[in-house]
Amino acid sequence: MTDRTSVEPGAEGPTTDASATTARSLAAVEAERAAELVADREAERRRRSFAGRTERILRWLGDSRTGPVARLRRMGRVLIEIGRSPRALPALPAALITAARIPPLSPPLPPPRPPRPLEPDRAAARERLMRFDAWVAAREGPLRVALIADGAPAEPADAAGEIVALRPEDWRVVLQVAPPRILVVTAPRGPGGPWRYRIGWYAHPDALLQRDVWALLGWCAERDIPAIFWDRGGPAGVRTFRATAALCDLIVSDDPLTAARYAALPDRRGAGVAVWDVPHGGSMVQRLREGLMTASTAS
Amino acid sequence: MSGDQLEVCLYSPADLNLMSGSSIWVQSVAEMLHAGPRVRVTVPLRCPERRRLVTGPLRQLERVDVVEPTRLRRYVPRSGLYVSTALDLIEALHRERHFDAIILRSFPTCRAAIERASLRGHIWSCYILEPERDIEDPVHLADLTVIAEASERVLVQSEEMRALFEAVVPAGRGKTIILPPAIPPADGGAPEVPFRRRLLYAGKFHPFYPVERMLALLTELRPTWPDLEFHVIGDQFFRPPGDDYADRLEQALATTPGVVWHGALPRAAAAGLLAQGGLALSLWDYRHGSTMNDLVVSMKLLDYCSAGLPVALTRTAAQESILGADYPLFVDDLDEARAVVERGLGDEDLYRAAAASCCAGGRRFEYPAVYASIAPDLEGRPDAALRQYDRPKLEGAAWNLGVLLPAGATAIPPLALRVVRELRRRDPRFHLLVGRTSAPGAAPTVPGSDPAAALRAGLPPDLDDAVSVRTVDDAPNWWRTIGLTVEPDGLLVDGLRPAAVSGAVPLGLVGPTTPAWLGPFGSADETSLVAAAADLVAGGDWAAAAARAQAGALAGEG
Repeated sequence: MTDRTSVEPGAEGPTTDASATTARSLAAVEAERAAELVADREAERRRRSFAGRTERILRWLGDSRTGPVARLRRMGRVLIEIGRSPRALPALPAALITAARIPPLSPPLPPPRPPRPLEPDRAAARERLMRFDAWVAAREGPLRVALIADGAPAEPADAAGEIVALRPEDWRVVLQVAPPRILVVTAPRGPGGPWRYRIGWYAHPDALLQRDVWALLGWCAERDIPAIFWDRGGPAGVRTFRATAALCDLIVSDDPLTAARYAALPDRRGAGVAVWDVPHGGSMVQRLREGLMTASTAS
Repeated sequence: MSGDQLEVCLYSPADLNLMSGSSIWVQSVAEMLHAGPRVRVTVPLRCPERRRLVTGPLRQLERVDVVEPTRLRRYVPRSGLYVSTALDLIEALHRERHFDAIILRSFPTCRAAIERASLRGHIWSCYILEPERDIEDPVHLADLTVIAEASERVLVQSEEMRALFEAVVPAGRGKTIILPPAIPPADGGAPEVPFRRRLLYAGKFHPFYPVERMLALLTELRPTWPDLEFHVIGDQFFRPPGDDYADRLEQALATTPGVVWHGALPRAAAAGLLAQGGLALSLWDYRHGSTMNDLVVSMKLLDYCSAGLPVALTRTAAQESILGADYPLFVDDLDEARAVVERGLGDEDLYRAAAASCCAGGRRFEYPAVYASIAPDLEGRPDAALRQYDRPKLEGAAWNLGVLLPAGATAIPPLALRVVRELRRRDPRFHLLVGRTSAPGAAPTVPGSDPAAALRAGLPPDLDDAVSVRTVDDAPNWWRTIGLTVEPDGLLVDGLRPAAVSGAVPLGLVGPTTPAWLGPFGSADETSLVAAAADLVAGGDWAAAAARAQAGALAGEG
């Protein structure tokens, strides 16, 4: 006789791993259902017991909507109100019936959702950045940087690297062929371009739901690729780009005031905010490493 | 429609016996609709009338009929009609008056109303995207979709709110109309309020409007200006269970030196008080409210603007669009409020400049202007659908040349590529945005894998960064990103009308069959076409040309 948990019902021999999982899941579901049935029977027995009945009656008496006290109070208010305006006296019977009935519940507003804990996101971002830093230190292959920017990148990633400018329409196809080591998102400085209304805050469907940014950052996170928001908008740009920046693993700015504003974002999911207050020099990778080191000490 | 008369029903679940933004909104919309000479407005009340602060002025209007809830039932509790009973009343009135439009405010009311077969086809759902509700909840989204599908029109408060609504409820696209809160027109010129050191607040008392912080501001500033007063209008308190917020605030309003608490005042009386001058406060505390409020046009702000007052207010997208990003009394963070108020009260020139900005910003919300914006839909004008394209351009859109191709297109028109190349030679800020219309019934595009990317095949390498393509399933919003459009076959067809109404300047070669309204935008050859386009944008004439194109397209010449 074979073990039921490792054999598909009706199968003659051991199953593959996938079917074993299915069989185990079915058994678990059946066990849960049996336990629920026992619990239901026990609850029904308690409900019908003397103590259960007493408890229900007491609860009904005190119910502010359906209880007799509440109904009498509503009817009393009707009598007082109609007593004050005797012209409404013919409406008294209907009013009393209305008051005696259980008023329908008005559709309540759902309770506000509690803020989502961001620490797991931040820890994951920290790990992605540290792994990238370790990879850069060991440097086992060419560095491929995926870049969101307006126009062509002005500088190479470094001597042994490559920058791939992403487009909204086909980034998935491009990245699947050759995944990058890191994604860098820059705030557009120019007026036009395809990314502008997708990563900045504008009164436009593309911007408000951030579908493109969520999809791209999610794709990268699934593959352990860190994402960096490279600020170029200064303090005035924080309001426009805060939503996108808050989703990236690291925010980098050369302006302390801008960095402080980004660091104060309550919904920031990244590991930190790095400030460059030194004159720019070296390759993009060298500067990124400096930023990572700064970020590791940032809040 | 009875004869030439337009019958409109306006219902909100607000209790019009209380003074709040919601009840003043009803008065404001009824008065705005009354600005339409053919409109007759019926306002069914939810709660029996006990005070006439709001209903009194409405009853004085010739073509506004306020209907008591007791019309249907002889006894109605003080708390008013339940949703279903209110809809019974509206149905009864509809049988009698044959409404052309039934404007219903609030999500629960609209959700219940679409179940009534007799009301369908007439419902104008209003403000159903409520900041308190979770737009990521699939059940709520499904409800919003059902409402949008069953409604004749969906009314939203602002362009920002329309963008969000259309993003989360695609079924609402093509049905949304902006109905902002409205204010009475100013008599004569701009009201000039006197410079006066006092603070003002009019509205409800809810932690989202940090009146306690405003009272603290008064106390902090009184040593500098001992005669500083804080005039407060309103009597509606939010009473959270298990919190003495309302009692605490009521106590503070009654005892803080310098506070003058007027309680509830009719709108006209409140306006009179505001007109005596001072600095109005409209501060928000996001710890107690959704950031979706950023997209809302505040009735409070417009009432301040109507009185010509300067306002110290929280910076939001919608309020920036009214007053301009450079308005001097925006508060970015509540902690900055004191410094902003000190500036407003301490510098008379700044006070007057801010007051002038508020006054100018409020103008487009005056009754005649707001009525004119909804009149095409309300009056069923033939160009109402075309006017859906008339939406403000996004910042920087002027530099985007757009081409909208049909669903089956397989290549980008060479003329568009040649034009953008020449434009970029003159100024690299130009881009070409190519849209390919979504095929009917096509699945939504997956981000990063747009089928329209196939149009890039054969694109010259020098234009790789200059061209972007996408599938377009929402043309009115796509056109908001476009400043210029080029017609590959010449300016021959009226198909350019939506683009022109959107404010995209049509460019193309002129021919013998070019319609008259397109003639001024035509060019004899490509060289002059490129020169005209570059000059329009770089020379600063683009906005004027866009306005001419829009006017021509709507006038329907040619």
